[in-house]
Amino acid sequence: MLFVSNKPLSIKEIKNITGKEKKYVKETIEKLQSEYQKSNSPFFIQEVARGFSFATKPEYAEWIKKLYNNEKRYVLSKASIETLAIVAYNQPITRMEIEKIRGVNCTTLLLNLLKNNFIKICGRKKVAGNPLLYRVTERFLLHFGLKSMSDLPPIDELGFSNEKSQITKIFSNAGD
Amino acid sequence: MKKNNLGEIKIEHYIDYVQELFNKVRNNEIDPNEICLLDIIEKYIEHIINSRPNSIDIDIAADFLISISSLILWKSNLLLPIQQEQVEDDFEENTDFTDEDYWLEYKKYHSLINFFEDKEVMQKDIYLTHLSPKIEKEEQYQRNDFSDLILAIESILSRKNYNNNTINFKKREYNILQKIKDIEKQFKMNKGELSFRKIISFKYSRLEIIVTFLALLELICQGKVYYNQSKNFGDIIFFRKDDKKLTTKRKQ
Repeated sequence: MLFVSNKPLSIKEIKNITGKEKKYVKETIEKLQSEYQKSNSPFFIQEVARGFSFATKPEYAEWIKKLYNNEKRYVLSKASIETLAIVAYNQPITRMEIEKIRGVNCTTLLLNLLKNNFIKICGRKKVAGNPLLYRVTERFLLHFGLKSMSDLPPIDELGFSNEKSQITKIFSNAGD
Repeated sequence: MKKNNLGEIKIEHYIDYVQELFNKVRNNEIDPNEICLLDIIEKYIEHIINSRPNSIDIDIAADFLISISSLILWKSNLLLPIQQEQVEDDFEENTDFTDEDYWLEYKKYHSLINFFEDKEVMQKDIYLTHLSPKIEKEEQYQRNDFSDLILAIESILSRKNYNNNTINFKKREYNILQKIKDIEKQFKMNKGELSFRKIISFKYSRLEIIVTFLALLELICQGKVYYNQSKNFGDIIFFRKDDKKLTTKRKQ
């Protein structure tokens, strides 16, 4: 199933298809992971985007690049990463709220992130003007190899004072 | 409202006068209702119109705009009903954030760039079975709209200086069909990959640029060509779809 799936498969999905217990599925994946590691296999099972997927080891990247005619993978600019970080920690969030933190216009950046499927529109905020609300997509987790949103470092542990975190709290309640 | 006695003030001291006025309003020394802002603005506009184009000091002009805008805001706030002010006070308890608060908030997210960049570098060399570069490109191709291309062609047309902006339709030097053939030839010569700058040369005339662009759009609409812009402000690269793939798709 992991070989043919077009997205990372979660334990719940595998459980629903096979009818096996959650614990059994988890143990089997762990067993496979350790087997591939022991046999020094060129691929492994990566836990990414709330699921599991087969992936190749980084040391074989050179060959795979040649297979794809040295096709360059999408690299995000610092501004895009910064915007994505704001969206990820405060989702759902409006463009105005992002711009308030960044201090610059983010229209083009958001359009690019939307076009490349890193963020998606998830509704409208119930305030004057009904602005669009954005949140990150599965592609965001896949691009950075994150297991889930809980893989992100807690914002309050970044070495900054916690006194001003009210802004974040207000933004976090944006969709309520 | 009182009419301000501005006729006696020299223009060099004009900005100081407005700033002093603003400070006095802020310190409750003057009632803002007694200031005629229209008078001040008209006098200043008159000064701007009468000045020589390069003689206006931008810094002083900016200072004036800030001071006068602050005064307008101050006066406008006085027009608001008192009840609304009370509601605003309650609201401000939660949302009265200064620039410094936003700066601190910004620094938090800015510090995360390194974390995400490290993750991106690590993941760059890991290929997932369902997310090969080719699939990524195909996905992007499906999401492409023409906004990037329109912006690119507008920028090319605006960069070129033309003595004559009109196009003589009688003189048909180029046509779309011929340009499609030219582009296809170029694709063959460049292994199915072409940059936007290569297709639309700066040497072309305005008419040739437009016809080439239309030919390119036609190829995209026919599904023979797709494009990708991997970086912001980077060149747009066009790819020719495999003829084999096209025929199998048509059969399906």
